[in-house]
Amino acid sequence: MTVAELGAALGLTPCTPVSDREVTGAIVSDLLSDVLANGAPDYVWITIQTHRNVAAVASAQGLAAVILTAGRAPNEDLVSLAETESVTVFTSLQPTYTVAGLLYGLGVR
Amino acid sequence: MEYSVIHELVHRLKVSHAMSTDYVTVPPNVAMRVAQQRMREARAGGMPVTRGDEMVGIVTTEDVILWLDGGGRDDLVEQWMTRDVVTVDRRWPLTEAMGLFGKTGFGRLPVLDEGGQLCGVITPESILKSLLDEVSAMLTAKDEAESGRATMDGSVLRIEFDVPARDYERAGMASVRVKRELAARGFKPQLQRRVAIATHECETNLIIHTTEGGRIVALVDDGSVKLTVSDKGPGIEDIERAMVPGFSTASDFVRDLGFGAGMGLPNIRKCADRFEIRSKRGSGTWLHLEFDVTPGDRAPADPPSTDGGGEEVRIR
Repeated sequence: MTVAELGAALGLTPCTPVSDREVTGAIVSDLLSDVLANGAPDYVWITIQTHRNVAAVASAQGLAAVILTAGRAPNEDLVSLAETESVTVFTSLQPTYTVAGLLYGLGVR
Repeated sequence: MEYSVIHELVHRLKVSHAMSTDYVTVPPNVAMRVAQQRMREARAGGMPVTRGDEMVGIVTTEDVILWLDGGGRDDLVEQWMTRDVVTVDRRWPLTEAMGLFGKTGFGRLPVLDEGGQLCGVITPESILKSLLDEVSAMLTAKDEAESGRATMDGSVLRIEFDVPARDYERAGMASVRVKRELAARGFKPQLQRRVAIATHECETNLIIHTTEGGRIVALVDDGSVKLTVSDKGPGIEDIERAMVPGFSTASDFVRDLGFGAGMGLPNIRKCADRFEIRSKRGSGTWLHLEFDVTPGDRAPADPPSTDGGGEEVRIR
């Protein structure tokens, strides 16, 4: 499943250009080091953190997309850094648990 | 650029910053024709008239026009020059000189040194240039503070970052920059990722735990990437404990931002091929990491090096 397909299927709101990268898995965490340790390239990251470091971590880890949950909006500098680092950032009004469940149901395991 | 920045600059910068020392002069006892010719060659709207080291007047295009109007006779410069010259002191702030330009309507003012000797000429253009140079230097400095300084030392790329303490928003700037530089040099994503993750953890540690911030130096060549991270304290009480995943001394505030998971040092060790740490409570911490670059870690450089400088591009 690509980032674009995933965004459409979950009804996510994009904050940066949506890529066609193939998603290989997902990680749920609000701890940056946890994502650096246990994420993997082309993963989707579900989190409630909204500051610029989210984009830096996503870039370091080579993540395909970040989903900010529970109606949280990204800081402006998160959006601009994510854009230059080619990481798609979505927001969702639903809580982390629901987004993760839906993603699992779509076959991202 | 905000008005207040320029305002601050014209008060801080001195006339000596903005004056030109590359100016033409003319003696008083030569023909006006000589003055006219010098001004035309130098494209100057006026020039000081000097006898030896002493300035005795100033002659401008206006004087030349009046002289030509009068028939352009074989008059001497001293017959047409202005003797009562408005000058500025090179120690004055720029704002003083700018005020004089406004008040007098002159296009240039001679600059005198502490001894009253002519040492330069200042014009609105030279002031504008000095302000632009200064603003550009300030922007470069800001940029370097944000994203580090990269320099080439022979074939070794050196990237340096000064990471300030407690600037949480800035975490990740070093790792993004290092990753970008590695990508630009054809290093494969797997190596970029290991180095970027370690760099991110290192800068996060400097931001969260140090008293005065610290420094990250990355050295990149064909065979390896080396990171040296140093700070001036407070030092690590028990390094073995700090290496245990989950052990953290971070505050609740920092944890709320997603830092301080207690996985930094273990993550760093996992990413690097060699890991060395020295620290003492009460002094600083020094960390050295090395990442081996195998032939598989590099794609051909883009564009391929053709300078024959001994850099072999290996494709595998």
